[in-house]
Amino acid sequence: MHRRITRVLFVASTILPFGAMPKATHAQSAPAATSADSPTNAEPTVRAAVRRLADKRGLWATIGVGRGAASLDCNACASSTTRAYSIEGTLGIRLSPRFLVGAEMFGWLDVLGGQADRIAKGTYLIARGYRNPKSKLFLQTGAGVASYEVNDGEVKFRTRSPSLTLTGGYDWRIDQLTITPAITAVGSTGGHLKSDKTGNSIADNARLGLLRATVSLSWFR
Amino acid sequence: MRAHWYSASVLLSFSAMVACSDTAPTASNPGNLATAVPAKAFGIWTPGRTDTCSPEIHNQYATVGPDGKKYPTWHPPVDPVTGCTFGHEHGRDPHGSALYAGVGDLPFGYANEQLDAAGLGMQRHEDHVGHKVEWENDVRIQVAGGAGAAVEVRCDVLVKLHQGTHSKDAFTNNLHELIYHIKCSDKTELHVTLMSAIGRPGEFVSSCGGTIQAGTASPANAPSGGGHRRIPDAACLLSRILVPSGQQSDFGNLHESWETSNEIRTVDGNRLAFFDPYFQVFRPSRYYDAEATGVVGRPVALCALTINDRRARGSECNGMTNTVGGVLVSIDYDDALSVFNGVGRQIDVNNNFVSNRDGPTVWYSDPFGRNARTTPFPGSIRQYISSVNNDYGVGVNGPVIGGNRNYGGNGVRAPN
Repeated sequence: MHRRITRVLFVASTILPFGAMPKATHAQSAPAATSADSPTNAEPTVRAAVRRLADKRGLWATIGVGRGAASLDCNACASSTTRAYSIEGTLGIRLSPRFLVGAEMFGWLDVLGGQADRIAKGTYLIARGYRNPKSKLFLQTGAGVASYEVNDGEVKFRTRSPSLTLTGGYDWRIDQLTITPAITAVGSTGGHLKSDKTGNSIADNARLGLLRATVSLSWFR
Repeated sequence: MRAHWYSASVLLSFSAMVACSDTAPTASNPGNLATAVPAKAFGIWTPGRTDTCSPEIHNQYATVGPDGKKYPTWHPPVDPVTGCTFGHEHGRDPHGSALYAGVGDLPFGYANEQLDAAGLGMQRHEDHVGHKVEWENDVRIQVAGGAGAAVEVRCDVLVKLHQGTHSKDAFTNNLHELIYHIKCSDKTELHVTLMSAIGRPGEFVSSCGGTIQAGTASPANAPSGGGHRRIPDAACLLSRILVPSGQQSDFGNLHESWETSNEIRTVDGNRLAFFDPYFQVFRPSRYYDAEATGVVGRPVALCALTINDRRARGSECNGMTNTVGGVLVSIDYDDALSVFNGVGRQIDVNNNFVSNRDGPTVWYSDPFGRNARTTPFPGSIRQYISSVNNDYGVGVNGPVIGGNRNYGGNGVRAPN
């Protein structure tokens, strides 16, 4: 499968203008990965295009959905884990075929049914790395801020704190798209759990834990 | 054990000298027991006919209050050194409370003593045996509401109420000393001592409902408070305990519930704290009987009473009677064999509201919890209130504590 796609991409790269190939600019699908398959007698102009593509730097965007489990832990927190759906989006730049940076936001929304809505949100600066330009597996880490809120319409408890995120994923290229299943762990600590009625901290060092499985679509330009 | 206990007291006092700060939960007094002036509550217990401990042994269980005076404090019903019995109990040993390390021994009668000095024109001193301690560590406070499900508050609670259930005192007197310590995982923390005004003076609520005017309170100018004292009365009991053949007596009515409502208010009237624990006693040794001598009826006597075909029927009366000269008579109300001695108790912790966000933790109030300010004044009591507001807008109710314990045995008997 991989070989067929890379050949298609290679052929396409010889036909289409460089800027019209968003899929072919995917970092880990960079044509450098296809060098072994390149015809030894390829035209010099084609090899040059492949090299340019492999070196290309550009924008990168992702949107995804998932499902995960979240829990909030603190001295005054009920110890329970809740499962719900999540959405996420990333915007960044590819610094090299192996290294990407960007900003990511996610929302985890337990808002269907139940006596109260539970919402976790996070914003991160992220860095993604691939082991080599051919690798489809990547690791991504981020640092930012996460919040967790429980709201029944009358009473709201909320905490917000520094957070780290770690993602492991696999880029699965299908034609012009990159579909990426991934597992993401989010952890935050040092939050102050507050009630909107009282304002003061109910508990210090509230810790949010969230583990979610996602599927995302990526565009690389 | 008593020597060990004394060592702990001395050590505590020394620690207080070294470590006590102005924001410490309680104001441990560095005073010395040997030289402390006795408070009025000290040394008032005398042994009954079946008690084997001397007053001297009893008086060794003492502590120094915040005012430097010597007060009685918790002791076991049996002196561990001599094995003698005191005939009464003060509930659960506070040394096991997680709060004990911070608050130390509970000075019984300190709020009563402060009332003398408060210049409010009233005095109120209570007997010794009525001081009852209860505590529980790490109890879960229920938080209601949808969002409340995300919060789980756990608390350590240590409480002492003077709740005498053997005499006529509480029929009319609504002022009873309450020492209330609670520390929770949501930063709620109260260390409060006051005279709790439980309902109105001169009256109480019958266990069967309705208010009974029982006379004049002492002090006569005692302020009214929230809640009430629910106490069984003769009319209520006779109809439920003296039953015809084929029925079982309902001894559940032989039950007192003192439902307190307490607050600390500033001199400006702002409420800093509110808490309303209910104190319940099962099988007390008294009920109100306007026809009886001293208006006190004895439940154990009902076991030997027959009116037509109505009499007490139930296991509670097993062993409570003797036949003397062909006449059925009950054992004495203060016999250690009597099950009507008030050793079964429980506390409903209920609400604990604090409205002191960013405020000082140390306040000085009058003995009723009023006129709180940040500096002491004559008759004031130091109260500790954490600097939070915990009124989240959801119901927060504490659990029942102590209901699974029984403090009987070891010579304990009425009056207890």
